[in-house]
Amino acid sequence: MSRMAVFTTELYKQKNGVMWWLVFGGPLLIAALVFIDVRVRYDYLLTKSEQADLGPWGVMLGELVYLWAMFMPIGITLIAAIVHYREFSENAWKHLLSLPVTRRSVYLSKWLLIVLFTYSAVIVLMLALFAIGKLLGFSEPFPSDLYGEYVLYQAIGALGIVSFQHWISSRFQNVMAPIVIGVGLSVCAIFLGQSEVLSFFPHAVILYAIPFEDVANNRPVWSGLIAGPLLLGLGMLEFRRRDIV
Amino acid sequence: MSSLVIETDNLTKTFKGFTPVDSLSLNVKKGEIYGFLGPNGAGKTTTIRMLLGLIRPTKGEVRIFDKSLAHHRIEIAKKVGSLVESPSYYGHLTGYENLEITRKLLNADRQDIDRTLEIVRLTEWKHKKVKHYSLGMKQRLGIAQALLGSPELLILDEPTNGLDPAGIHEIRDLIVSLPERMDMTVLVSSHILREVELIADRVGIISRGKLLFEGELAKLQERSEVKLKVEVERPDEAARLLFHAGYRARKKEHALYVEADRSLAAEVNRHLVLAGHDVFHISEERKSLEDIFLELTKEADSV
Repeated sequence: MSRMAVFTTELYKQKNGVMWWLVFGGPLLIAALVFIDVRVRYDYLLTKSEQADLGPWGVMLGELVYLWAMFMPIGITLIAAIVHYREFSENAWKHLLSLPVTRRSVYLSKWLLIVLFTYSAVIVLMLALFAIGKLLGFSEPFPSDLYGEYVLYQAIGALGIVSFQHWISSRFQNVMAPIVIGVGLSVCAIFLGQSEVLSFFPHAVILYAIPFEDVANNRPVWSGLIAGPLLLGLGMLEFRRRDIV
Repeated sequence: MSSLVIETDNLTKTFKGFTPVDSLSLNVKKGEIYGFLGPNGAGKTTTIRMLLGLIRPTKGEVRIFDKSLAHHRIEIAKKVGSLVESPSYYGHLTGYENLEITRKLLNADRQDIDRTLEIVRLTEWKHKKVKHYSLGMKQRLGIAQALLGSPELLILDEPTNGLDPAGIHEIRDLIVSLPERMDMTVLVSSHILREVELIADRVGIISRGKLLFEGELAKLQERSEVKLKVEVERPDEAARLLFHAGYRARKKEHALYVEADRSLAAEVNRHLVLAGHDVFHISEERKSLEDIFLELTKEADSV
């Protein structure tokens, strides 16, 4: 059985589901909040605020960063929970895993699916921010370096969160358990981020993804590159040995 | 190649100090319908999950198509269709889409979906979301999933659960036709003897995780002893009399049950009449399969 077939069936299972509302609706909602904020306080933000010298595009990112640092891990929590809920809600695990598919390919496919949905949400958000800038008539050209770096750090930082949420969502039959844990940790991101050590915790690192000069961008990089593959590997090890009762 | 399709050797599963399956050695032959019988909680589902590789045995081995399941699960799974307990499905997708997922993973022909839908009579509802199906329709969808890709071995755990009498009949007829029509071997579990009695070539009876009997039902019937039921006016006195004459007799609900078959009926009667007892009734009693099944599983329970 080819891995590709396992992945395409995983994608197929999200057809007609709530997933698409989350992946597109979530970032658009955050973008709408940023739009209202920047629109209403435009003059203040660009002349009097501390970040005024970053220019309109930078100021907009500065306004987004705290909001997104909390909502992105919550979004990943929900994406992972939905992916697994599909299997748990009507006992689909036992059918799926008795088919000629390896547990490794099933676990990897679901991980990849969560990663791709997360990346899609980030892209949707960036496109929405671009549209807001154009709509508000920002005078400066779009700083693709700044936004590109921000996307890159998020993309790496997200891996740890995805691997963590993927595993706990597969572990609990009750879909509320991984959601409570994930949302709890996401809300704590701001506090975790204050500590030197805990700021490397997966759910906290998106706070450090913004490529401003005074921000330690090593958090998302190290956390994502270490926790991502490590938690994925450990989760897979447990999943492969698990009894499906 | 061996003619055994499923072979388990001392299969055991222990969960935290409790052993739902204990040293089970099953043998399912090619082309037969094997009834896997046992009361609820006897360990049937745990066994079936081990046969499908969903649960790892604590001890023992499963061999299917003469290959070790632990080492060749993917190869084996390509030729096995299954339905375990409650149906598995994705409620937000249609019946057709559910089958499409299984088909892709089995790498089966697209036409196979229509063929199996036809078999379980769901063609008319194939584009309806499964969450709107009745329980019976969901169960039939589960059977369709099991039949996809024309497996050589079909493992069905309580396949008639939740079906109405007409549905039960239909599934039973379907199962009976499979070995011949599609060259399949079928293992079907149930806690109801009568359901299996009508379709199975051989049965395995399990209780408390242990295999109590394996073989043809007729063989099981032969094991049951025959008794003479005798009704007399003073049964206690009559029992003593028969005991002195060399018979073992037991009183139950005003009647005597004598350990003897019909060839001795006349002699028992003569003993009683000559001793002055009025005999109202003598008949030969053989236990029904249901009784044997109940007794067998109860005995295991009281151990």
